[in-house]
Amino acid sequence: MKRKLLINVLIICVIFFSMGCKDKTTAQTDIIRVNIASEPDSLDPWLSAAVDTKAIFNNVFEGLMKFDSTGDLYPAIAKNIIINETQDVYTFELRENVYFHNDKHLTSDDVVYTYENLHSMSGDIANSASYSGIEKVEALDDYTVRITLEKPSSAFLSTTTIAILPRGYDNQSTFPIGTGPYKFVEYQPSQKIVLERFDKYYNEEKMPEIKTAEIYIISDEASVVSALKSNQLDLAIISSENAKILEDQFKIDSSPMNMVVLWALNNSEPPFDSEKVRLALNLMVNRDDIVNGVFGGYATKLYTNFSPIMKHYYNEELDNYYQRDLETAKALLKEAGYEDGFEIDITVPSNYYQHVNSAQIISSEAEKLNIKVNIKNVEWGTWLEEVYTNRNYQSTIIGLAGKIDPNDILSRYETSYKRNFINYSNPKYDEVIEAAAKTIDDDKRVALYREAQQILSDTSASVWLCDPNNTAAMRKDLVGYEYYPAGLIDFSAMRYEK
Amino acid sequence: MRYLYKKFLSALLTLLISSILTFVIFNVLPGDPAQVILGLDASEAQLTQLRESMDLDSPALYRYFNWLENAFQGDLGVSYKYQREVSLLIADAMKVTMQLSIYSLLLTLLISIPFGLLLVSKRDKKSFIPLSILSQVGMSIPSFCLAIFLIAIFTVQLQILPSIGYVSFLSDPIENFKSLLLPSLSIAIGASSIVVRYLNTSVQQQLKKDYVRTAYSIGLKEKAVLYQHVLRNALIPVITIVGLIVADILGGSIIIENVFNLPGIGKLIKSSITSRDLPLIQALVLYLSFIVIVVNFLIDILYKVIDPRIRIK
Repeated sequence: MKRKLLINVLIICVIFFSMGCKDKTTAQTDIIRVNIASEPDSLDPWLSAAVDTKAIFNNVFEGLMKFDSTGDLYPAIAKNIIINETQDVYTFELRENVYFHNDKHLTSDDVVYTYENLHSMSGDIANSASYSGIEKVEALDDYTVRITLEKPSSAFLSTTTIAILPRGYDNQSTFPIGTGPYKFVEYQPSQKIVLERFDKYYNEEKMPEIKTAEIYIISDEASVVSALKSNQLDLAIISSENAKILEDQFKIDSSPMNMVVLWALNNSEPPFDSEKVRLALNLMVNRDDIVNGVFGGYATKLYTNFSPIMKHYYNEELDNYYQRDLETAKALLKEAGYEDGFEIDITVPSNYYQHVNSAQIISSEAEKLNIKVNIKNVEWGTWLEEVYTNRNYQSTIIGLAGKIDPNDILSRYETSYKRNFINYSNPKYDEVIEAAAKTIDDDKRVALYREAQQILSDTSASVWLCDPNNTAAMRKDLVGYEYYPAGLIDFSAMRYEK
Repeated sequence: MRYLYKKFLSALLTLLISSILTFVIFNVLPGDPAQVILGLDASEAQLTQLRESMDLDSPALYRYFNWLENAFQGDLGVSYKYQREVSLLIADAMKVTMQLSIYSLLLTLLISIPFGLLLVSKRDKKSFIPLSILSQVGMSIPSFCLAIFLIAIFTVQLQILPSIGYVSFLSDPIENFKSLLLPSLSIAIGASSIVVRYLNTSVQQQLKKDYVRTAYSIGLKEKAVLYQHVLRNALIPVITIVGLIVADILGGSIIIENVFNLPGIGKLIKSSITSRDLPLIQALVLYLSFIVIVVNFLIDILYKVIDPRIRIK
């Protein structure tokens, strides 16, 4: 009796496990499965602000212009752009074969609708402050749109990457519709987003090879690694520590993320109101320890609020601007009147373990200068309110996600900027940033943004630490993955080698 | 009847108090839901728009009563973050968690009853000690450790069971079972060790009672005494603990659901709290309180079935 039961159980087990073995030896080539760490903040591209969300939905939506992998702009829905000499009138000639995912034909009416909404001309609230400088949007014919600005703006063209949405469709936040190479299929909260190739995509050359893209929302890194190892993911965005473990089995791609991780010092709180103290801390911090200890060597040291990956605008003279020198640091503290050291708080968001670890490294360095550091771990929501919004803190460690337009990166330290959370105030800096935004000549613009970076370093506005790499591990036969400085994942460029 | 009436009233009161507590806590906690949802890079315009859509500018008391009134009419509101009706979100997540609970419960019973009986039958023999140690070990390994261990074997090495990607029962029953097997096992191993220990202790206590001696004295065999008399009496505390375990799993195993990426209640709880999604949190708290109330009620009924002497008051 017992033996019979045992045999039955064994047979069931064999059947069950053999079912599990199907298709595991031949890897699929018509689907790409990737992970993102957090839920999309909004499916509506005009409301979404999270970098992770944009990285994925860039495949669904397109603007008049698009960013390529070097951060340069190229025409997407527009096929041609005519800019007048004073750079305040932009005429976009649209492609005539663009369709939305609901098969609606795109015309200049949709572009007018989009920009009117972004600027709130139709009486709604402004969708985004970046578009407040638009004076007028007109459709010249079915495929020509003219946008007139109140004053010339060198940053305007990069804002035309925003999604063009169809007029008269209200369900963007539940079932988004765009014109990109992939169309939205479904979003299962806490589980996955599914996209599928859009066969009516206008650009034959960029027509995706891979039919389906599944994006799994996985917050636990160990789960990501095991899913990749067991062929449940084809491409995984991982932390640099795990890159070493996966090196043998997978192709690893690691490149600077265009992020600025900084030890932000509240410039209006003592002792950080003293420039000497801030300089001393810049000379004290061991950036190598942070790059190696926290990011496993996969990061670039920073000496200003700008990543070298943005070659065009980066001020190379700032490489190694601060040479580590504890003696000078001590002397500076003495001059500032802090010979006996002081006690400070570093408030870190506890969900970013890298920032917590960096704070610990800094804390042990600081002891050498008689500075006692209290590390205060706070929850993300609390951090956003207390530190970022209310500026009720002494110092913090945070990563600022990269932007393609230098103005978006550097204007955050303008005195009047709403989220100037380090309370940096320097009239010279404000002047430079303002001048740069108005400048049309590219060489002059570059020179001004380089000067702005120089000012930040000269006045030691904060302690810049590094730009961590974005690290991806993928199946060895997957080609075409490229990291975009704007943080995008382009599925249409990927394919599997046969 | 009076019993049901009392139960119903106390349930209602519990739900009301828990909803007030949640509301107060999340209004006192720092953190602007709009900023938390949109993150560092949100523009002022985007924040304003989201805040308006959440009705965050109205006074807190007004918002609570508004919510309460709608809740009484069955409308639990729309999630800030997912922009979908909260009741739909919870219903979807509940399907997953419910299946996880059923599988876990079945596995727990499948493991714990034979093992528990084995332990009882070996209570005076040498083999009792290693068996008892085994159940102790099962109880002390945290479920997430077990989960990672199981993933390492069945997913990474053998590649026969998935560790992410839930498949619904209707679309593919076999894949559905496979996607839930490892998570249920991770829960069941720990849970069954607890049940085994309760069963064992409870049986040992019963064996010291007078009726056992009487049973032996009228000539009943050991097996008859054990299975016909002792076990039934010993089940009362065991059912309580099984009930608690079920309520616990139904409430969403936050860790297990996150490790296996299951879109259940546990994952929803985590995401609703980190994104300060008040309508969703409120509804989840109601759901959790409701589960505890219902499970307790069912346990009361079960007591009565097992031991008719127990009166429900």
